[in-house]
Amino acid sequence: MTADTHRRRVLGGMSAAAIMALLRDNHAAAFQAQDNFAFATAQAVHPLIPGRLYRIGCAVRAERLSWLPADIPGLFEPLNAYLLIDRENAVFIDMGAPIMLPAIRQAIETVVGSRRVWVSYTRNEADCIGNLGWILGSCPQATLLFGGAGGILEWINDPAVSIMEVRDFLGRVPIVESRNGMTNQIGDLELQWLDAGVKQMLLTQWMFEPRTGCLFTSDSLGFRHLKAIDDTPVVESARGLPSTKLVAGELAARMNWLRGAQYPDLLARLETIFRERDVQMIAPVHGCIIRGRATVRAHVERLLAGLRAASALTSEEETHYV
Amino acid sequence: MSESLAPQRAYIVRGLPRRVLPDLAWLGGCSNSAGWPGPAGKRRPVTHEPCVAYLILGTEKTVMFDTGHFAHWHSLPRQLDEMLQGRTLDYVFVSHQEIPHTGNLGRLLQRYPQAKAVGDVRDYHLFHPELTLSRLVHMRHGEELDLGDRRIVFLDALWKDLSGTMWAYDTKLKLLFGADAFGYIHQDDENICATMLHEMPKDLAERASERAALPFFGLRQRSQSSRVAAFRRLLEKYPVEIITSGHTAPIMGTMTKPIIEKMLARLDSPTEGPRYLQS
Repeated sequence: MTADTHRRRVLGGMSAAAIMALLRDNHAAAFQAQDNFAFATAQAVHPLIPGRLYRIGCAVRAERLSWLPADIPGLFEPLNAYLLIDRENAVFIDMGAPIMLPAIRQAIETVVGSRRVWVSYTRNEADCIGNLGWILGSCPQATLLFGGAGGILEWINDPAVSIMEVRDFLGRVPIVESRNGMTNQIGDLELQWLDAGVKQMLLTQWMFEPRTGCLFTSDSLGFRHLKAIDDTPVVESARGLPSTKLVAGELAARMNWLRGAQYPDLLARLETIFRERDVQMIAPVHGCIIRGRATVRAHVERLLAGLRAASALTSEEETHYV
Repeated sequence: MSESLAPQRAYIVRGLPRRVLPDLAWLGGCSNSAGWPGPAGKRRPVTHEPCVAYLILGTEKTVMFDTGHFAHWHSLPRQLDEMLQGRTLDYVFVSHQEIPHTGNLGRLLQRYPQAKAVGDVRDYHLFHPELTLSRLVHMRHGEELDLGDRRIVFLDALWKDLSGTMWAYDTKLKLLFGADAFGYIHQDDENICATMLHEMPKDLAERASERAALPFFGLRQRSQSSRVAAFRRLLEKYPVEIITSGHTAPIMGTMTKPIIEKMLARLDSPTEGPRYLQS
């Protein structure tokens, strides 16, 4: 199959607007031109609060993703990282999977400018730190905010060399602590770190920035997907909220320990997290951003309902060994 | 910065690779928690956790269980050359998406252009957009790979770190690769990196395997008894003589049964919570 016929097959059935969006996106076109490579499009830097908070990301098909209970043909999944800025500082909150590198490069070129760069992550998984090496190699004098575990600066490579060579960042990057319960005051930005309200990985952090009202929730609250690739990845109402059953299924697909478990303490703490903070925006690493107090409240209520329902689901693993 | 707080490598290689059996090689090294950034700028205590991979040499094909830690790449190509002895790598089993387990996938598939990744390969296209999708082969529970003189059976993991975790079983060696299960953290001063439990004095083996590495959030929120029972049923169907994992030296010989029972008791005990991370 030639690249052209492949492109026509992929584009078949899309709306005219979607095709235009796709064609505008050089990265997507590049991937489409190569048969049988992963598909990513809508590589973009999206101002959530202009001059303060940006979403960096792309969209992929809602298929082959471990956090979904099954492929959702026809839907797309936003992959996200975030950039908080003031006049002098630019703080990355997660840095995304390598497939969204074009958007990260765009953010460095168009938003970061001469600001001092700080990098932080909510988990040490590849969907959060996949572009950490690129950023550290591209932004001089970047500082690592570290609240987890592991010799993270040895987990990444300098983009100046081939991936087959070893050139890590140990000893080359200053480290500032950002452990749970700590606050990093960086210029006008206030980064409040807390243990994740719900999580799969032990060392998952959430971060709240009070001036923006944004809570960065890592792999939680990512249950809103895109119906079309040119849809904006921001949800601003409770319309189209998925059912409790669907949310429970997605939660249990990612947090595989929920099925059959009892976790009243976790539910209570989750409610406390939102009661004690004026959360106006939720920023997950996958799924749509949720914006507006009422919209946030509705989605948190659905999260809580989904968590309660997930407890009643059957553990799939054990059924294999009857 | 004082000399004592100078950056220290957290990923070391001692005594590996080892050819455990003619058709089983043990690769990788250990992580050293003293190399991690410590609280308040203080050095963490030294503890080691094996960060390892295994190579199965079938008569027709070869497979690597996990890729080895990304930070061990300075040594892994040499280790592979030494153990493959001119053969190529045909398959890489990816147990789950964590960088310590499968962070070298892109490097391995570049070094061995005919090799394919096998397992639950969801997500990996996001991490390796340079790979054609045909090199990521999705395997479901119970599906098998033929290496010539044996089959590798892919099994849904009963204890998962990340969703998408699979275990693998070698039908000839009766070897189970348990991803994150069966791991343990050991002290450095006992100098036991690259040493199998059955090669140690009994009391040292007991101490070395005392501190389980169980990175499974949610163990305390649910009784593990039904999973322990499911694991016993797995053992009936797939008899195990050798246990391996990404954080385990090969457990074999007289140690296999006691270590399995030790781990199951730890998981099943409501009074003894798992100790799951390095200091």
